[in-house]
Amino acid sequence: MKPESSLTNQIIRLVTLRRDFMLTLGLLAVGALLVLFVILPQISGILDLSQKVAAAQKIKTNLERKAILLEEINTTPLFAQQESIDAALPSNKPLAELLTILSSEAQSAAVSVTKVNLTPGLISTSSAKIKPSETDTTSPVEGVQPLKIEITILGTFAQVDSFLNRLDAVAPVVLVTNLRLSEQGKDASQLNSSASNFSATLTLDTYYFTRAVASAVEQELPDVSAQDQNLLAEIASFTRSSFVLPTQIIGGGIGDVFGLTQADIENALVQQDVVATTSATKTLGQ
Amino acid sequence: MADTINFLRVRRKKLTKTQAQDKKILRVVMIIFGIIVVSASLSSGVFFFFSQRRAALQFAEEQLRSRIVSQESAEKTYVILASKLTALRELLQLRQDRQAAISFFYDRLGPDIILQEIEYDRKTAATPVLNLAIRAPEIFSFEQVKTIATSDEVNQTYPGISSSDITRNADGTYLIRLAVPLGLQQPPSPSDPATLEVPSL
Repeated sequence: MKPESSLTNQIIRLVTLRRDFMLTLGLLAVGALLVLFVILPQISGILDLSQKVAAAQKIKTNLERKAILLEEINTTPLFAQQESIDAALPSNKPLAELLTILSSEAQSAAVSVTKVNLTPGLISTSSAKIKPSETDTTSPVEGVQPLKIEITILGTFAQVDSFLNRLDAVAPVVLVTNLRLSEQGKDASQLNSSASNFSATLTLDTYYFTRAVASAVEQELPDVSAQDQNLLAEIASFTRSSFVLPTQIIGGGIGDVFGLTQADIENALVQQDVVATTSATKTLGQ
Repeated sequence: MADTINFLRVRRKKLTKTQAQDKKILRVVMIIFGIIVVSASLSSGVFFFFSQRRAALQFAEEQLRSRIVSQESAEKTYVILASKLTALRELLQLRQDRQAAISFFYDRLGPDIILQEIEYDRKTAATPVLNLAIRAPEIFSFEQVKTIATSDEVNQTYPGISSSDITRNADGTYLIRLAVPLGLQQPPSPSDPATLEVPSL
């Protein structure tokens, strides 16, 4: 008898006689494969997915809240007071606005402005951005830059006081950083009397917004608290400058500022050519 | 006559016993296999559910993102306005602290005495200093200024206040300089007149 046939016979006998045992081995093998290659990877995947779903749910909730807020953003008090806020803290140097409001407030307080001294503030272009470290030393508040102006006013004590009080309620916002009072032509006994004329030299800081604001889609919108609502009301009550930025050029490109017409210019050019040709001919002739 | 010994019977008995044992084991293994199959189906189902949920959330997120991006200009304006409002709040707070200090001294100095020079020194960001030059028309008013400057009320409200440069001018007036640190002051009580009215001078 051949050994192979003996082995085959033994296997056949084993399968025939111990069928259940073989089936048990098969089921155990398939079960182990299922556990190793299906259940365990899926459990790991489920744990991973559940974390991702929770994170995605959180992002979705935040985005939904933001989308709803953005849809209603035009009706928020902040948007309603946009002009007041921009007037109080403009994004450009508010020199013209400041001079206009100072002039009108001086008139209202009946003081006369005798001297104005300006400093241009930091000069920067888009290619030479202001470094934060440089700006922080000059500004008391982050994200704004001061524009310094020194003015001298003349008036009685009450008038000067009235002018200073008025400065607290103007837009753009002004901070008096230095004030020097001196009486004009009066002796010490008349100090602070209503008849005395005072000269007040004020150093004022007005501010303009310089912060580069970046916003990401996931970033939440900043909240406006109840305290800010009061601030908005205060800002809205500020006296604004009547200065209006010129938006059109009157007469630009219509007339020639030198009084020359196109025909005059062409004639002049022709004459210039003729003179040049003549002088060249003479030179060649010689 | 020789007795016949049936070896096959013993063997068959043993085999039958083994087969019965195999059946028992198979039954147990089938139950375990069933549990494994059910678990595999359940895990597949849960995995599919989470995959679908994640896909739905991603789709919703993309839609929300496009909604938000479409209102980018409004958002930019809002963020800039909020930043400006924050800056304005800080600026006005700064001004209020300074005004409160000026008002505090103005209310206590009396009508004859002049706050001749007021300088807001913010070189030290944590504690900005308000420098006041106070002029008194004669010696009695000057004594009054000194008494006020060294009073407990002033020291409690503005700890760290210091006086310097006491001078007598040719016109007979007296000048004293006070340095008032603003970052250290105690919160004023509601009855404090400085909190009721805040004039500039």
